[in-house]
Parts: sequence; structure tokens; C-alpha cells
Amino acid sequence: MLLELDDVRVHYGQVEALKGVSVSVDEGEIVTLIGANGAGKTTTLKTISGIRPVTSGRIMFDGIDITGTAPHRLVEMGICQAPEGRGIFPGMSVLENLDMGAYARRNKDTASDLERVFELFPRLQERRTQSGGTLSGGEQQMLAIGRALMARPKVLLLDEPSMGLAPMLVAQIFSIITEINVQGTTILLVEQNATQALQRAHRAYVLEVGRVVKSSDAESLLDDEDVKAAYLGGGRRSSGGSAAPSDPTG
Amino acid sequence: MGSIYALIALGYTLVYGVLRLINFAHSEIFALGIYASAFAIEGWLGVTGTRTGLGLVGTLLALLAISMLVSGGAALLMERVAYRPLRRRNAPRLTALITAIGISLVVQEFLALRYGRSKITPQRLFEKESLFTFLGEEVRNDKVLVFVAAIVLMIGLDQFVRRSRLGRGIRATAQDAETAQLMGINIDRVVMLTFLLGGLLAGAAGFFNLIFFESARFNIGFLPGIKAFTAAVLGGIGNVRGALLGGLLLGVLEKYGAALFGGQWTDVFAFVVLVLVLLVRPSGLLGETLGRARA
Amino acid sequence: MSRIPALPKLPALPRVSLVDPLTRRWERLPWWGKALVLLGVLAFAIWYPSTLEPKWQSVLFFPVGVYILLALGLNVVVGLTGMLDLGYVAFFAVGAYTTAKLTAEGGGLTAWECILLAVLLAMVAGVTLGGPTLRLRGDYLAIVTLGFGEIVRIVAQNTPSLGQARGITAIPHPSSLAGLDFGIDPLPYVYLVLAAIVLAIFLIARLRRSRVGRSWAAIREDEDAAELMGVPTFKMKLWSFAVGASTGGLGGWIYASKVGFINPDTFPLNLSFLVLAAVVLGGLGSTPGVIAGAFAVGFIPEYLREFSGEETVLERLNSITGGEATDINEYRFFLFGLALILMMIFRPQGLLPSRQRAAELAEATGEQAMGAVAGVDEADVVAQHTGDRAATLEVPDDVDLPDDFIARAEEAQEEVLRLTDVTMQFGGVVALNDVSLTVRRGEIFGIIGPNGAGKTTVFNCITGVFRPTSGDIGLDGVSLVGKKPHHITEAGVARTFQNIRLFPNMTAIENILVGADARHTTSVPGAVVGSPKHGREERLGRAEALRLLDFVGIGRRVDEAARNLPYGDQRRLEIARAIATQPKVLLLDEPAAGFNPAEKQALVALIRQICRAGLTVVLIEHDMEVVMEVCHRIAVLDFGEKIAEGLPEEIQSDERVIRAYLGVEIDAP
Repeated sequence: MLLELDDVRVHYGQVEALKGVSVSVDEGEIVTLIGANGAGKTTTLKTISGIRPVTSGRIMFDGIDITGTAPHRLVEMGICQAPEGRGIFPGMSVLENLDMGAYARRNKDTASDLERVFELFPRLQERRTQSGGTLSGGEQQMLAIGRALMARPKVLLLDEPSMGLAPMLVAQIFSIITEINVQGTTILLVEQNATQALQRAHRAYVLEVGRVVKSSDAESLLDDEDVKAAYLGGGRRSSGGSAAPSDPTG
Repeated sequence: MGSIYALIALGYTLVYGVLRLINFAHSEIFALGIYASAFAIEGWLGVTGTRTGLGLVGTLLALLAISMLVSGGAALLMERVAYRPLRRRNAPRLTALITAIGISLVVQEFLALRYGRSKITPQRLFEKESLFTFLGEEVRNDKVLVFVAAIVLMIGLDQFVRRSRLGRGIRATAQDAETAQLMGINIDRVVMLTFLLGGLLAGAAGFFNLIFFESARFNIGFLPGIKAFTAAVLGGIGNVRGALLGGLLLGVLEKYGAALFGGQWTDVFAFVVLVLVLLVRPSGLLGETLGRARA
Repeated sequence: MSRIPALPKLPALPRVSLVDPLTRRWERLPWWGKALVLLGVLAFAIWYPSTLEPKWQSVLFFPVGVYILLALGLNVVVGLTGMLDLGYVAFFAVGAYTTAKLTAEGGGLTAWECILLAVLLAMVAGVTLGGPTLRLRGDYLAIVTLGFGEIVRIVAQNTPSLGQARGITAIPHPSSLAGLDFGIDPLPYVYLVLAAIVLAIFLIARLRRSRVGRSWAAIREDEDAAELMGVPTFKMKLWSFAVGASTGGLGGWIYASKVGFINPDTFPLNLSFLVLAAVVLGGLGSTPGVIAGAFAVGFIPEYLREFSGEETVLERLNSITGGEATDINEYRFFLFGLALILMMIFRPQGLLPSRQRAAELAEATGEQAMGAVAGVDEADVVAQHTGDRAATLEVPDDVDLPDDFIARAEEAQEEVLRLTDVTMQFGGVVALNDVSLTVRRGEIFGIIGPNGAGKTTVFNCITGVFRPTSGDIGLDGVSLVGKKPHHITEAGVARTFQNIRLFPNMTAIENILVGADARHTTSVPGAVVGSPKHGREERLGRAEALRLLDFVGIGRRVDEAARNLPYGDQRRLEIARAIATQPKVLLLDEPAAGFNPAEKQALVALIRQICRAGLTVVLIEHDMEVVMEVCHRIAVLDFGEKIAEGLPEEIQSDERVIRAYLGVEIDAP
């Protein structure tokens, strides 16, 4: 296993946000975490990146125990994240943003990485001198992913890459994610857009209020009735899912 | 005077940009710089009369270096000892401000206890003379020296923040600390760096202040500190070029204010400007945020 | 807004364990026990000074007594309201100069006649300073007040009629009163200052327990949320300043009439810091703590001066700093500075902390309590408390909303809230583009859409957090655009927040009372003197609050701090707090986030209940099951535009909605 969370618990003050989450990601996989708002998906990614302290449990990366390691060390080791909301540095140009991705690298030869990113996202090349804050949502997402790739991560953590994007762009982003994976980067993907995520991923975990309630290969989850009802479009596809609204009084 | 404000203001701006914290004790860092050069003149360098030529240049540079090192070191120490424990706990802002007041008191009183509460006047380094007149105003050699040196330092800082890798780290942290961490930036190091930079510049300001006024008191940091803060706010706190602009502007405003209302009201004037600026344009002339300060 | 994220936590901090048990024991005392203790303390305070030598009586008057009085006043501003005032000495100075000017040098008034004027003028000074500056953010405010302190001193220094640097001398003593002869003897002044202190404690305690005190606490806890719950934050902050300033003015009066001369150096900036040190050392917000702190700050240096071992202490201190001080008093500020730093690191809550402050800081240290309330920035933090689950699930069928809540919402079928072509731009980004919505009275109206579609922005525009770039928002035909949030709340709009924003260190019932206070009209003077109206409103408010707690199903949690409630109960409390403002329209922002299916069902029942009680509900929600089940009509936002509006069935089969939101069945390229 490249990345393994073993019974990880995380607290915010007294509240337990993760109640013993175990997730593993094998080299070369796309693994996705799906679940409702507040299920603990983002917390899981932040915990892996070292931003949230672990209360108990263990995180292993490449055979090394990385529990409690500082975030900047983890980037050096090969864990990089494109955070929720993209986290673009608004006052920096596209190029500068991409350079930030390579910040932690000792090897300063970034030309080939830039080339790779521009190949995946031609739009970024067009906008290279524009400042990050003025990009459109889709472009910012591309920049966030591209920036994370500049760190040459062994595992790429993506937090809701489809958030706030138009359907066409969502499809595009997802096919690029597959492309990145095919090129050899392991991906852990957190998504609300469960259908798309499950279609792209190899394996999936379903999180509910801080616990893993289901895990299996992605395809069989696509056909799972419970998952369908809860996450794949609010019962639209499940036969009896939508209850009739109570009689309108107004 | 404006350029001294600007140098101190940079320290407020840098720390605020990264930590959203007004480092109230920054004025004492400036005072330490003054005392460092004051005592270096007679103590360590053994200067007994005015100097000229290369000897003067060497002395000035040595003093500048000493002031900057003392202030920079003090700023680092302050971050480590007092602020970092608070940061680790994610303490409320009020806590940090009170800590800053505590530091301020300790440093001031330390200076007072060690060097006395009355004025100190170190040896003069060079004779002051008028070089030329500009707009009916005599321009003295020490003013020119201070102004030019301050501008050089500020341009240096501006370029450092904008071009170097560490400078990029500072800007990234200022814009989005969490993402900066995800990019592999060591936040602790960035914070230390900003305190160090602020301290170095305040030290330089202290040195310039000393050759300008040739005297110091234990509480000398307070007023320039407040005014520098005003300058930082005037230009837009968190914004490096704003601090520069704000400092120079405040210097000029004070000069004309004093001429208009009388010298004893100079200090009131600065506060009134501060209040007005905060009310009319709270984000300052050039706007906030360190990160957006690119041209 | 970038904050430095939480770093790994420090090892457990050392605690001063002597004082905490005392505090706890005090809190367990019955009311008559407390009264007895207080009387005992008072008796001691009256008897003890008379046994002392005049020298120590003088010390008890100044610095000790005056410091205590000033610290009490400053505590209102800093401790209760959470605003850092670094120029507090200015009000002390205003009080003293007023007294001096009006009584000495042919001013003509007697000292007694001057009290009110001194207090009033200090209050005016407070309002004058507060008016323009209280809109500023916390740390700016601190700096500006600092400047104000200096301005007052410089003005005194430079104004001939105030004696400039020489000051004013020969200020007459007060005439005899109640058998106390105010002359050279310090004892009567000790009683004078004692009386002032008792008066200040009493009045401030009254304010604290009233609507005003709750507003202050709410402002300290979460100013934006307070404003949105109908607290006129600016006005209340101004009052806090005024109360603090007038206490300072009273202190100035006492000081000037005892000492008989003042000059600008009587009011150095350091005095502000000293008083602040007293407040912080003792414990922000805690009256006994502040008194103890002020006592320590005033008394210890005087005591050390007499202390036989002074020489050695002094020598040792001198050897540390390399100084040549001859008086231990010179070390006062140095040591207080050190104490402040150490205190902030090791015991930031002070020696005798107030309940709220202690809890607040415990949370910051991550030792106790929870994060969801305390401004944790992500919706992800919603996992809930272990245990207690079952108890919170009960659907409160038997409890109905009080009648008076229904009164406002009887007429049906007509529109109550209307958005017309609302556009909201941030810089170049268009968050809402020509959105028009009509909400009818008595319905449950859903707003759905992908993350970032602008749903919460709609709420923020309605409640006045943002002012729309263009377009109009009307409630019952009256435009809300440009009104302040607390006015909009009064007009009849209340909301909850996506990330719960309760006042974490206030109890459940206090939280609701803050909401209810939006409708109350007791003035600050009313609360001080305890007017009949005030009493009536307090009683009514409490009864209403209790009913509301029952209504949302958390009636058992009246006196628990909001922060300690399980997550689900916090959501319920937030809804109750919003209802307490008696809104026409209730805006709920993702109330089901973080709920498991059973809790969602309970929530659905609660929302229906609210609707049945006659309130109009606008609901933002991600959970489709909840939305489809509970809403009468639904609008769909996407990229800031309304792309559909209609009955749930219509929405579910709308092509555009399916494509944009439900997001399934997209052919991957």
C-alpha cells in the first residue's frame, strides 16, 4: 500500500470529526471518498496532509509512519494536495502559482514539469502571466491541479475538483484526472459528484458522519441501491425515493 | 523623518500580512536598535570625535550592521519566546495584543533600568551641514544620507519579497496560509523570517534616528512606533509599497501640520490622521494584503 | 481570509490549582450564602482600614482603591464587551480635570456638586471617542484609543487654561458628609472610594444581567452574529464605552478631590497599561478577579517598599538587568510586563477567571469543549457528540409555538418576501445575476444549487450582510436594501448559519434571550435602575425562551453553555434563537448538514412544525431527500442565476436542473 490510514481519529475540540477512519490507497489507483457535506471527507484529506492533528490511529506512507509529520515535510515526501476551493494565490501570476507547487523540491529543474502541466492544461499556458485571482473557476481548478503536479507527488490528493464548475468543465476535469493517473500518479479523490467520481475511480469509500460505512470497487457502488438513493441524485433514479411534499399551505 | 517611519512601518506590515497580528512591541525593537548604535559608538567602536572620509563610511556601516543585528535578533527572540506559544494554541487576538504590551513594558523598563531614565547623548559622528536648498528648505547632509539609505533598503526588501523564493513563501503564506502549507512551505520558518526582516529594518531605522537626533530615551520607541503604525495603515497595512508611501506621506504631512498649527501639536496631528484614514478608507491608500502588492 | 491553521498542540499547560477550587465552591453556594459572604467582606472592608496607620490608609486609597475603581470600569469595555482600550487613563484625566477646573481657581462649584459633571463629561468623552472609532476592527481600535490617551495628555499639557505642565493646584476637598470629615486624614477617602467601588460593582452587575449585558457578551463572542440576531452592536458598544468612561471619570473626581493637585504627569500612558494589567491578571470579565488584580498591582510594589528584604530583592533584580535602581518601585512596570507575558502563555484566563473567559480559552487550548461552534471554518466539522443521541431525536409534537409567535403570520397566500432582479458583484465576480424570487406567506421555500451557486449570498443579501449591487429586496412591500442587519432582524427576518454561529460561551437560554432582546426596548438607564418595564421584559423573555427550548426539543439544556451542547442540539438552539426574534421569515442555511438519516427526519418534522405555527421558512439545503420532502416550492440557482423555480416534482424532472445540479448522466468526452 502506498498510503494507509489505520483507525484514524481526529477531534475539533471535543467533537470527533473522524471516528476511526481506515482507508488505503495502492500505487497507481484512483480511490475516491464520497459522502454528504460534513461526512469528514475534507478532514480526511487535511489530516493526511498534516494540517489537522491526529488524536489516535496511524498514517503510513510508502512504508513510513507519517503520523504527526509537519505538512511541509509531507510535500517533500511526495504527498501533495489541491485543496477544496482551489486555494489559488490570487495575487500571484499563473506561472508564480505553478512555481509555488515546486517550492519544496530540491531539484529545481522545473521546465519539464511546466511543459507537462501546459500539455494537460493548454489554457494555463495562454494565461501564464495573468494573476490567479482573475481566472475563471475552471481555470483556477486547472491551476490548482497543475500546481500540485509541479511537486511531482507520488500521491495526489484532490478535494472536490468539480465544485462550482459547469457540467462541461466537470467532465473535462475528470477526464484529465484519469489522464494524470494513467501517466503514473496515484490519486485520492474527494467528491460530492458521486456519479462522476465512481465512474472514474477504481475503488471507493463512502463516509458518513466521520465513519467509513461502505467500501468496495467503484463500479459495484454505482449500482448499490443505498448509495444511489443517498448520493446519486437525491432519489431521482431510485424508484420510490422521492417522498411527496406535504400539502402546501401557501 | 518620513523614511524612518516607512522603515518601521514595514515591520508592522510584514508581520500583519503574514499573521494578521499587529505586533505592538515592534516600536521597542526600533528602540533597541537606537540603543545598540548609541552604545556601540562609544563602547565597542570607541569613537571619540567626529570622523571623515573612509573612516566615517566604515563606522556608519558598522553601526548600521550592529543596529540591524541587535534588532533583528530581538525580533526573532520575541517571536520564539512570546508569540509562538500563543500561535500554537491558536490563541485569541486579544491575548497576543496583551502579550505585546507586556513585551513593550519589559523592553522599555529594561532600557530605563539599565541605562537610566534620562536622555542619553552619544558622540556625534560627523558635522551636519547644509548641502543645498530645495523648495526654500535647507537640505542637510544627514537627511540626505538617511533618505537615500532608507530608500535603498526598502527597494531591497521589496525586491526580496517579490523575487526570491523565500519572498514568494512569505507572499503565499500571507495570501493563504493553509494552502501555503500544502505547497510545502514551513510556516514557522516564514513567520520567523518576517519577524527577522521587520527587525532588521527597524534596527536600521533606529540607527538613522540616532544620527538624526543624536539622543535617545528609554521610551523613545513609543511615538515613532505609533506613527509608523499610522503610516502602515495610511498606505494599507500588509502592503509593502503602501508602507513606503504611507511613511513618506506622513512625514510630509507632519511637517506642514506643525508649520500650520504649531510644533507642540505635531504628535496629536499624527493620531488625527490615523483616525481619519481609518474612517474614510480603512484599507489604506494602496489597499491591504501583502500578496496583492505586485505591480 | 487566511488564518494560520492549528498547529500541533503543546503539552498540557501547568495550572494554578489553588484558586480554581475556590471559584467552584463559590458557585455552589446558595444565594443567602453568597449574600453572607459579601456582607462579611464589606464589613471587613469597613473595619479593617480603621486599624491601619495613616500611611497604609493612604496606600489603600491610592493606588489600591483608585486602581480597583478604574479596573472595574475598564473591565466593562475589555472584559465584558471584548474591546481593547489602551487609552483608558484619558477618562480618568477628564474626570480629574473637570473637577479641578470647576472647583479650584474660582470655578465656584463645590466638590460634591461636581461629581455628576465629572462623570458626565467623562462619558461624553467616551462617546466622542467611541463614535468615530468603534466601527474599527479590534486591533485598530486598540491603537486609536492609545492615541486618544496621548491626545488628552498633550491637550492638557498645551492648554493654558488647564495649567499646561504645571497643572491645577489647590483643588478643594469635599465638605464633611455623614460624619466623615474630608481633610488631610486619609481614612474618610478610603470610605469614599469604597462607596464608589460598591456602587460601581452593583450597577455593573445589574447591567450585566440585563439585555445590555447580554448584548455585550454576544458582541464579544461573535459580533456579526450578534448584529444578525438584532443586537444594535454599534449602539451597545458605545454604551459599553460610556459606562467604562464614566467609571473612570468618577475615579478622576475622587482622586482630584483627595490629592488636591493634578498635572499632565498624573496621567501617564503607563497608567492605562497598569490598569489593563490589573484587569488581565485578575481575569477578564470577572469582578472579583479584577478587584484582586487591581489590589495586587496597587499593593505589591508599596508592600515591597516596606519589606525588610527589599535590599536583596533589589540587588538581585539589578544584577539581572544591570541597572542601578534604588527603589523597588522602579521595577514595577518591568515586572508587570513580565507577568503579562507569562500570564498569557501559562494562564491566559487570569487568576480568578470568569466562567466565560475560562471556557473560551480552554477551547483555544484545545483542552476541552468543541470546535463546531467556535468558528471552525469548514462544514466538515460537523460530526456530533457521542451519546445523548436518542434523547435529541424526539419530535416535539406536544409542544407548540407560543401563540404570540403566530400572530404576525396569519394572512395566507400573499407574498411576504420578494427579491427583484438582485445582482451581487464582488470585484469582477458576479455572485448573483438578476435573481428574482417570490416567497409566499406560510410556505416552506427551498433554494438549492451546487456549491458556489450563490445560495448563501442570497441570505447575506436579504439579511443586510451584503448590499446588493443592484435590484431590490422587499419584506411585506418594504424595501430592506441598505438597512442595517439588526434593523432587518427587527423588521422580521431571522436566520441560521451554515457553520453554526451560536455565542459559544453563553448558556442556551442566554443565546435565546439575545434573540428575544431584539424586540425588547429597555434602555440602558432602565436596566441600571431596574425599571418595571425592565423587570417585565426579563420575566417574559425568560418564559418565552424556556418555551422555545421545549419547542425545539432541548428543554433540558437551559443552563448549559452552547459550546458544550451536542452538535444536533446546537443546530436546534440556533433555530430557536432565530425564532426568538419573532421573524416573519426564517432563513435556514443547511440545517441538515452533518445529520444522519434519523436526525434528518427529526429536523424535517421540526421544520414542518415551525411552518404549521405560521412562520414562513426559506431553506437552503444540499440534502435532496430533505428538500424534496419538506419544501412546497423550490428555486434552483446555478452560477448565480436562477435556472428553475417550481414544485418539487417539476424541479426533479427539469432538464436544466438535472444537467446543472443533479449532475448525473454526463457523457464523458
